[in-house]
Formats: sequence, C-alpha cells, structure tokens
Amino acid sequence: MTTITNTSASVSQEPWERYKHQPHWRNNEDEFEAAKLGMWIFLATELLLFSGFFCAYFILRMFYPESFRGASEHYLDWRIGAINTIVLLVSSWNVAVAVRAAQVGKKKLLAFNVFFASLLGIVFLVLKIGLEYIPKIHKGELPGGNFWFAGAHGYDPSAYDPMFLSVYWVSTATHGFHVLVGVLLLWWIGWRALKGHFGPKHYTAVENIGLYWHLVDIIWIFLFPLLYLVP
Amino acid sequence: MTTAPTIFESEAAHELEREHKHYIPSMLELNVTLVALLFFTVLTVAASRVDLGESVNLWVAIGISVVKGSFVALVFMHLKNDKAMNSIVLFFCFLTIAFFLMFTIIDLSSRGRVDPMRAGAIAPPAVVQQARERAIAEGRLDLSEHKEGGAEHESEPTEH
Repeated sequence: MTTITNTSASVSQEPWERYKHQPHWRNNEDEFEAAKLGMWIFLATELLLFSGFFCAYFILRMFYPESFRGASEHYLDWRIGAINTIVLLVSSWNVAVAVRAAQVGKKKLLAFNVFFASLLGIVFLVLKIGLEYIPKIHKGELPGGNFWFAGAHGYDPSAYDPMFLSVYWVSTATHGFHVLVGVLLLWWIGWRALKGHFGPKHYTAVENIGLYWHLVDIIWIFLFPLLYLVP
Repeated sequence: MTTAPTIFESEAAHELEREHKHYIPSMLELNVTLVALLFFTVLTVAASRVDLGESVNLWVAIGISVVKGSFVALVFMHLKNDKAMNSIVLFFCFLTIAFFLMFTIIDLSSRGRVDPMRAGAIAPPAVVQQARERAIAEGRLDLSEHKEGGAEHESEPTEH
C-alpha cells in the first residue's frame, strides 16, 4: 500500500509499479492529469483542423445540394462506409476495454485489445484504399481540377461533382492518415504493455493514445453520414 | 522549536491521499455503449432512406452523429467521470467551431443579396467556367441578365 519504500522489494516489481513521476510534479496523479489535459488540448486542435473540412462540406452542399446528392450516391458505396463505421466503433470499444484492463492490472487483456484495435484500424485502411481509393484513381473520380471521370452506367456527372470529391478526398485522406498514425501508436502501446509498463498505478500513455483513437472514431462518426448517406 | 513537516513527508502524504482515485468503468457499461453505438449506426442508415426533405435529413444525420459522439466522449473517453477541465476545453473548442461555421455560412449565403453576380461564386474558376458553359448550353443560365450588375457595377460609381 505505501509507496514510500523503494527497496529490495522492487526487484520483483513490474516496471509500472516502480514508475516515478518526473521531478517537477508532486505525484503521479498530477502528472497523469496534466498529460491528459495536454492531450485534450491537442484533440481540440485536431477538431479545429477537421472543422475546416466540415465547413467546406456545408458551404458546398448549401450551394449545390442536387449535385451533392447525385455525387454521394454515385461515387460512394454506403455499405463500405457502414462496415468501416462498425470496424472503428468496435476498435474504440477494444481500446476502452484496454484502458480498463490497465486500470485493473490485466496485462495480457490490455495487450490483446490494443493489438486487436490496431488490426481493425488496418482493416479500415485496407477497405478504404483497396475498395475506394484505387478504383477511384483508375476511373478518374478525382478531386477538383484532376477530375476526368466522363460518366458511366447512365450517370452524367454534374459540373460540381469535382467539388464533392474534393471534400471527400481531403477529409477522408486526412482521417485515414490519422488512423495510420493511430495504428502505429497502438503498436507502440501494445509493445510497452507486454513489457509491463502499464498497470493500475501508471497507464498515462494508454489513456492518452486511447483518447486519440476515440477522437479519430468520433470524426468518422460524423464523416460517414455526411459523405455516404446524402439522401 | 517545532519542526514543520518536511517536504518528503508532505509529499508522501499527498501521494497516499490521491492514489487509486480513478473511475474504473464496468464491462457492462462499455458493452452497453458499444451496442448503443451500433444501434445508432443502423438508425442513421435507416433515417437516410426516408425522404424528410434536404435540411431535415441533414439535421437528423447530424443529430444522430452528435448522440453517437457523445456516447464515445462520455463513456469511452471518460469525460463523464473526469475533471471538468477536460470537458471545458472540449466545450470551448465546439463553441469556436460553431462561430467559425456560423459566420462563414452567414457570409456566403447572403452575398447574393448585395451583388447577385457573387451568389455562389466560391468555386475554383475553371470548375465554375465549366459549370457555366454547361448551364448556358442547357439553357439554364443566361449571363446577359447579369450584365447590368455584377463585376462592372463596382467601377460605376467612379464614372458617374
């Protein structure tokens, strides 16, 4: 119970039990809370970044509603978006379970859930790149001035379709990059978890990387209906 | 002379006092949240299949997303049990975004009232040009209507 003694008993301790906060903090708790607040401020700047894309979306949809309706229906398959939504929601649940596992000191459960979440992140990227990006590049369904899709299967592209695709490409590619970064961060967390770095007394990195992953999930929760489900 | 507690003693007391105070969610709580999120995903797809009108459909989609996002933020991201400071950061972030979106939309949706030529003119020139040529060919747009106002209007005051 007491943490004052740090003697020979520490030989058998896991790294998280030996963790000592940086000298400028009073205790581990203050360090944890400060790191978390810093993470939330970073997440706020991430939301501001994405709000620019949402702004572009709302403005363009306001001006060209009929074009957005046709473009969403023709260029995007809502089923891929829905599967990716479920994939990210489940991965978020995995990360939440992983944080809980760290809190209750279940090392293997923590590592498993973190690696499983990263696997789901890879599934998300494979579906996005394999079933959306690559076919789109081949068909010329590209953003802005790069658009050369000439129409097919009775679909005649509107002059404003390139703008829908600009919003689609920029927002989903930026989001996809965040997923990629998240996958790498989850590997880092999983590797450290296996080494016993995280436990009930110290799990700052699990908590904060988890927050990042959940935010990436929340952004997709908004992107999915706005891009794929324009009625 | 009485000795005040040393910094080490007070630090140790402080550390003991604040240990193990984090809220640990139950598995039930996390599972119920996941089921709710999946339910709302089905709901948002179903809602888009019903034609409620352009703006109503948009608001329903945004509303469901807000509910889902709130579930993630409150339960998975622990805001429900956190220090209020983290929620305050998030609140002011959303407030900033609300102002950002509001003023941009008010500006761009009302330019046409001042100068009809500027209504909707935010697209890249080439795209607008293509769109206009297309619209003229299909008889949807007659640029001669705008010749009285528009860009030339700006230079008129100096001439008169």
